[in-house]
Amino acid sequence: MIYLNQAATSFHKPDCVRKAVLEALSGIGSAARGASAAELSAARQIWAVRQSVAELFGFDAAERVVFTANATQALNTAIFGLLNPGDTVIATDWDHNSVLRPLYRLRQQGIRLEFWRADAEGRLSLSWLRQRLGDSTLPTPRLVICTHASNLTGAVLDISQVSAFAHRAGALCLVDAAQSAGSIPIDMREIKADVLCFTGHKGLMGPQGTGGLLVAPGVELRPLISGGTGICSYERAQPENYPEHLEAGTLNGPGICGLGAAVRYLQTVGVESVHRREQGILKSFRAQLGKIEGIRIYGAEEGEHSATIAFNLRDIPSAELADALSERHGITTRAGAHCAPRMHAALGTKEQGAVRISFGCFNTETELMQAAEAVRELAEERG
Amino acid sequence: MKEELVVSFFSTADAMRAEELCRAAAVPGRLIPLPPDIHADCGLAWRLPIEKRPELDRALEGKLKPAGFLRHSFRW
Repeated sequence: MIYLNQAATSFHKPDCVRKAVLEALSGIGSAARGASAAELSAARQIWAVRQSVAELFGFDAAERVVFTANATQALNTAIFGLLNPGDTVIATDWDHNSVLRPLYRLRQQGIRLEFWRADAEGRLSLSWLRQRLGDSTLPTPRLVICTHASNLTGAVLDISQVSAFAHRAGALCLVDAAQSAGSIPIDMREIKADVLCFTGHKGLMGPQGTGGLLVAPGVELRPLISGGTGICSYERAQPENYPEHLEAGTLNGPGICGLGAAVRYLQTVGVESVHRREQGILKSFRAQLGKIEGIRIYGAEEGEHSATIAFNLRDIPSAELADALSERHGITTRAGAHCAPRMHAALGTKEQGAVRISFGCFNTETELMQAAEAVRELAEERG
Repeated sequence: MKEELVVSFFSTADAMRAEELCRAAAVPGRLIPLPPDIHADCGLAWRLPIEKRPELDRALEGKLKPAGFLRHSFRW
């Protein structure tokens, strides 16, 4: 099998991840639920992972690395924790349902939701955002939410600029890095986002069930969930200290230990080097794919991209093409809507969907060339 | 009964940091569950011999501010 659905989850993970999870399953207790050897081992290891994650993202406050089960929970924590009825929020057409659905719920409770719209090539114009945020006749947003890398076209947004524009207008900036963390360098000192949400199981190559958010010092969120933290047990409210403020209940210790191993692996390899390699493969693959008659690749070619590309073959339903790639060529891709309804609407692919190919650290250029060849064969068979 | 020094912290993150700093500077002691008569925001504390306080202060100086210090009598 050639697995090219890494934007859904990293199928290939470094061996150290499996080893760390297995060791944790039989070697650690529950963090902050006692001070015996097993519990202290869990606390120390999880603290070390917070430090590694902070270091990877150039973030200076390890205690404000908050672990969640996935990016969706992290985004919900940030969105529900920051917004109040009457607030204005700007979101983008790139955003995933993990951003959109919480916002639609909050709109019913009185937030004002605006969209930064993508053009027919899926591009977001920074000048539109600058103009909107500079327009004093419109409400000042409390929050600008943006997706770092589109989960459909792979296009990458200049989040430093977005953050700078948001701050200049007095708004906070929330970045969804689900598709970029681990495969595109992110430095919080440089981008100055107020909150950055990530998942552990995609580019970071950790286990499923891991993710988190980085909450910049000075930014305060209401907890999404409340419960046991192992500290301040007689207080009725969730502790104010981070990370406990946003982490109720037992943490996923084995998963977090696996994530830590994955992060340390990436620190050794270098995210910049992963990104450069993937950019090279993407360029070759896009060129091969583009030669096939009847192929339409979505999204503009210029600019930076994650290792993701979306396309269709003539008017063939995307699910049918993805199924043929899987059944006849053993190639795993993803068809359909990708939980990105607004981006599909912008690209005009609501009906057909699109086939998405996404690769990662352990895919080879040969595998991508085989995938291009398989699409070519299928295109020729269908005349 | 054995009297020793208990250092409490404002957060679990501080307790973790304190342990790292103490280990790096070879300050004796260990993390223990916070005795119930001491109130702090973290359930962990650092227990050490009373006379080692100066070494602890040097290890934490400018890096971490503990929530408090208390002499405590331990049965074991």
